Amino acid sequence: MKKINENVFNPALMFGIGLFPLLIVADNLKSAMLFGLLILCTIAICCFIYYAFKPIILENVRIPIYALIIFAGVYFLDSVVSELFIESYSSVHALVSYLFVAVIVMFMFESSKKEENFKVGFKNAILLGIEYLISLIIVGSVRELLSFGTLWGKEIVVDYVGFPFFGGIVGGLLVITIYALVYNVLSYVIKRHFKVQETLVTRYQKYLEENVKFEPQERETEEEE
Amino acid sequence: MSLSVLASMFVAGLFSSNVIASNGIGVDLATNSLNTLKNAIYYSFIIFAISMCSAVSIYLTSLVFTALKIQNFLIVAGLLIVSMYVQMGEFLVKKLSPLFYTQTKYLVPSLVSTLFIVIVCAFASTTSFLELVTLVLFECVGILLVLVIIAGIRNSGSIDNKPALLKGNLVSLIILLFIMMAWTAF
Repeated sequence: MKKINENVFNPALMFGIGLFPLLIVADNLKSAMLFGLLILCTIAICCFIYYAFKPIILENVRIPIYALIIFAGVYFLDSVVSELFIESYSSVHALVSYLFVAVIVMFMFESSKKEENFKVGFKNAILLGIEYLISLIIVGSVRELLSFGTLWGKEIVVDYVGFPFFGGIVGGLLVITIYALVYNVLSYVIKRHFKVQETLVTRYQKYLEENVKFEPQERETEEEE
Repeated sequence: MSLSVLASMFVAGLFSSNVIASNGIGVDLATNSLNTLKNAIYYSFIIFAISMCSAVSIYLTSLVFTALKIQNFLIVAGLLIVSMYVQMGEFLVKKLSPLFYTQTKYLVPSLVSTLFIVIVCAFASTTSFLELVTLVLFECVGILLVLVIIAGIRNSGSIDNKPALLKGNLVSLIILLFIMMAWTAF
């Protein structure tokens, strides 16, 4: 239960980390989805490199090392993706977008600093990437829909005049603020639900413990009688 | 140069180069949980010191790299310089003010990436050293302005009894939204 509670968070909406890429890149669904997938791949690659070198990374020089690891991951993916998907890649403004990845990946490094187990660390990193991808997709699709009435370039609302305001930074921030409000309400409800459930479980466990304590004594007295 | 020209230059620089409000660069920094004015000013000073040192160091490095004809490595060098100064800043903050460091433990990732983007943008739009320093200075003043406004509103007594849902990052997002709208209108 505790693990689920810990994973229900989004760095962009809870700590404000990674908001800039969310504002700049997620102005349509296609860019947002491609960027989100690239972030997920970068996180996975960087997590592997990070856990491979973790025992020798010193606390006092960790930030330059993080920067180099991210740089390595970014340029590896940069070369692979540019060879495979040239058309899609150019539409995402790759190099600049890739540099934006640093925020999320560095946050992943910082949050998994105390986690020694690779499996748990990798799972948390992928969850973080998926959460960020979901927020990118939601923000991107809402902004595209409101700006042009389209989704992935296809017309959804016929004869839609459109609000180009939502394609800009301020409009993007408005969408993100509303999304953050909804997210906060949902996480508040979920956390409250788990808190109530946890209290009930603790009470029941106490009740069981008390019963287990008394049971053998009762049996003994019965036998004596 | 008259005082009015200087004043207009200051205002133009302050508003036009406000990276958070006009370009969105640094929204990560602005929406973090800086609750007090003291913390906001302290944090802005750290940003100023790191970005100024980084800008000067990267400029000098670019001169050396150009002379050696290895300009292609300047991005890596710039990234390393910024992250090195952030590391030094973190080390100093940890020693001088452990409480502030605990409150802002998640600011390191946004600090590195934002400052790198700020300095890259400054380098892309300027040619001379003086222009670069002026631009970085005004960017830092702009960041200070936004951070102080957000911290001031968050710290004010009028929103002390706000609901639990509005605590944390969401209030900063709402305040920042209004600031950006005002700047856009300006």
